[in-house]
Amino acid sequence: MMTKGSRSERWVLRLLVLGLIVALWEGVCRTGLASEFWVSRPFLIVARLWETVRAGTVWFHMGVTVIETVSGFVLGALAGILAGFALARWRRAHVALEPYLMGVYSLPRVALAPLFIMWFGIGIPSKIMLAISIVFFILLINTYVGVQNVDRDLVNSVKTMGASPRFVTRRVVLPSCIPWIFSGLRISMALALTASVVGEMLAAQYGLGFLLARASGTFDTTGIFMVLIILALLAIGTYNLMARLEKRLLHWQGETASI
Amino acid sequence: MPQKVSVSGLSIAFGATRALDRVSLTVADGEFVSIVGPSGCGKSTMLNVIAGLLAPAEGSTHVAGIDGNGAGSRIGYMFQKDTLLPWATALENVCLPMDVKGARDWHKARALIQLMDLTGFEGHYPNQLSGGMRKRVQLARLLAQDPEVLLMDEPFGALDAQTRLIIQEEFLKIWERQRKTVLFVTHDLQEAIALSDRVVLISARPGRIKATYTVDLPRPRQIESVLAHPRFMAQFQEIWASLKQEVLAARERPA
Repeated sequence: MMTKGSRSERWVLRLLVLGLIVALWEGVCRTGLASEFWVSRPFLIVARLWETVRAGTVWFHMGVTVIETVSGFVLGALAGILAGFALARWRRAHVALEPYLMGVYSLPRVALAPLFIMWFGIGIPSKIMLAISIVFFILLINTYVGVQNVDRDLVNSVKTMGASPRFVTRRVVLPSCIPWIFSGLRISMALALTASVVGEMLAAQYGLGFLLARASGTFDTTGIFMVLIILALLAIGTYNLMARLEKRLLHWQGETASI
Repeated sequence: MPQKVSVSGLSIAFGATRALDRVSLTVADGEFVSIVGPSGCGKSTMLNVIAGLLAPAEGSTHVAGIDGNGAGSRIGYMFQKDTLLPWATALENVCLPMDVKGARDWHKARALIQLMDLTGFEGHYPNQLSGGMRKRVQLARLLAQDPEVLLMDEPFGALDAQTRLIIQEEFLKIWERQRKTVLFVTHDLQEAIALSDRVVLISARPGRIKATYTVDLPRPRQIESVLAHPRFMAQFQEIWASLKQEVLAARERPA
């Protein structure tokens, strides 16, 4: 097995890679191998980032995107988890609804964006709806599968202790669904961000997606890269937050992977 | 002695396959009865019916005078598989049956942890414990439930041979103090004879009671000395001769 090395060694290696990429990028532009117009340049991007951060506008746009993502994520997840438990509880409902749910689930949900923009306008609500439409189904299906996969022997053994159905649900079914729900949440977080940004790119007046679309419309490569960096940082931040939460809630499982 | 468990005319079928065929059996209060038989003869199924997890096709079961479904917490069921809650610590798992009754008794739980030699591991999760330790937590949990009847389905089957001997020894010691009624399913004939008052032999499918043997080894017993006892060896040979026929018969009849 390969050892992961010490913490400082890891970071030195990682920063080395970053330095290499930046140097290469900067180099090809300076020597004229590539045009700044198409690929921008690290120093230009950092300068722009610094400028917008100081001017404060970036916080506003970032805030809009974060609000859309988080609202869509939380609402979609809550609704999806509840619906998943409901479907698992009422077998009839599952039988009746399954083909339709799978139909909507299989649909690339960003294709709903034009409809939502028509219905809910170009503001924040249409982006939240788009995020909900993605998150809801992932959590619905994960929760449902989680309930279906509860270890029957665990349920039976607690039943033979004379436990009520409520006790079994609370102490056996719910905890055993949590890993499934978490894997759904982890995927959903990234997709909720995608949904907000795509929605903003299509029609919006603020948000990181809007900044991207505007930069692209004015051939502002530096502006595009700046937003991409912000998005990447945002995504890594939320991913690590989820991983930490998961580690705390699922500590009984032992080690879970994180970056 | 009054009877604690009674099974009368019990038949069970899975589709076209008849698993158990008109089995009748009574277990007295405080008696330790083992059930042996070839794989697939319906031994485990019988325990599931007695525990009320499965409805019989014919016949009925009673535990302490109450029929199958209502026996509830009078029964303690130990499965071969690990049925500890993986998200609960050893101590929390031991407390589980008390939580079901709505009365968690920390003193009792800690006493059981100590009895099963698990001190220091109260806060460990099942995946941090060895197979033998998990088994001991399960035994502690079973004792915490304090049921009138113990149903045990190959409880030590998954353990390695050495750990199994140790756990059998510990279980025997505790049982001889408490003398609860036990119905013990096993594929290990040595284990059956060493622990039981009576060994019931079930035939290859469809499972019927082929013979019942009374084990007349003195108690309290010690596993090592029992295994070397001439009476044990004679009885082992006698029962094995009959069991072997059934195992061979089961092998010729495909499942």
